[in-house]
Amino acid sequence: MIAAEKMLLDADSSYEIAAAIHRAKVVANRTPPPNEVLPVDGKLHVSLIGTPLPFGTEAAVFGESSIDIPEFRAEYKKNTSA
Amino acid sequence: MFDASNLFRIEAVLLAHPIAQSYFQGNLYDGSGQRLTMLSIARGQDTTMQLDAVSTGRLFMIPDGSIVTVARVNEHADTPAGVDIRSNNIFLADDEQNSVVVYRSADGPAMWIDALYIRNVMLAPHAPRRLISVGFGLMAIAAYRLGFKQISLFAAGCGPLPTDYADTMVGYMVWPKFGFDAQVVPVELDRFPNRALLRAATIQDVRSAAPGWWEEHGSGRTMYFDLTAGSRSWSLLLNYLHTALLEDAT
Repeated sequence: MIAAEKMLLDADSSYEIAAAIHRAKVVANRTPPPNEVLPVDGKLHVSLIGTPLPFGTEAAVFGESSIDIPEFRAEYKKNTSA
Repeated sequence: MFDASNLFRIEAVLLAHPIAQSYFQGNLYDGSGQRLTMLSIARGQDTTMQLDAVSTGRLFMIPDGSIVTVARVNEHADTPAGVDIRSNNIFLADDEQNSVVVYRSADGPAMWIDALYIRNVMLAPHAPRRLISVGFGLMAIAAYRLGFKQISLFAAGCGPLPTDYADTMVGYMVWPKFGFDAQVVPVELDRFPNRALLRAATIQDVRSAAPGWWEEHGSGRTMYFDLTAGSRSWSLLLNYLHTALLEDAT
């Protein structure tokens, strides 16, 4: 195994471990909200049975998006400081 | 035809990217920490979308190792306006969860379309570079193939952006680069008049007619990615992804 492959393998393994630890913490501390659909044997079933939303009402019905992607901000800073 | 000549190629590039190899292989878990194997979404009386874990991860931008939960979003009393697909993983900022809502949007008096609304994507600084670029590319391809017609989000912020503010909201400027678009009204264009914008009706018209104007004077609003084959949204996204991924390869 070449060094680059080993590094990638190590990175993937450490991610899996970190993700598993994080999951265990989340599962131990979470209480499902009343509107949550619970899985059955690892499967989730839902229906889209509501009235279709009028175009343009998404933010009013679902709330304004909260989006923070540090990579995008860093890219903007890189471009402005170049 | 559109898929074979456009999406197939960029999908191959995306799937070969280290981000897709490491984080979009469909290793998902439910709220109790057990493996999630399927998400089925009934669309009316006759059709049900059956998504395996790989498709679920790609359609909703959910990295491997995430916990996935589903909640109904109620608009009026018990009538669900949509279904919220939530995910939690180590790339998120503290106490955050990502969220994409599946819903039906009216498209005329007796028509509706299936659509997605990106509600929450709050990443921590240590999230890997290109996670969202690759993730959104895979999301759009999956959504197109599953028959969705649009992806929407509320893009925040306004220009001109400061250069030294750590929490600057850049969504109004970034998402149009991915192909998102929305209408502009004459009154906002008239605040900073430019003859090139006389016929501009959308953000993409503005960006095309007067490069730099939107970045300097644009503002946040709900934006839409048009998943129709051959749309301007696709053209912009494919161009963006080719450029970004080529940059990574060199």
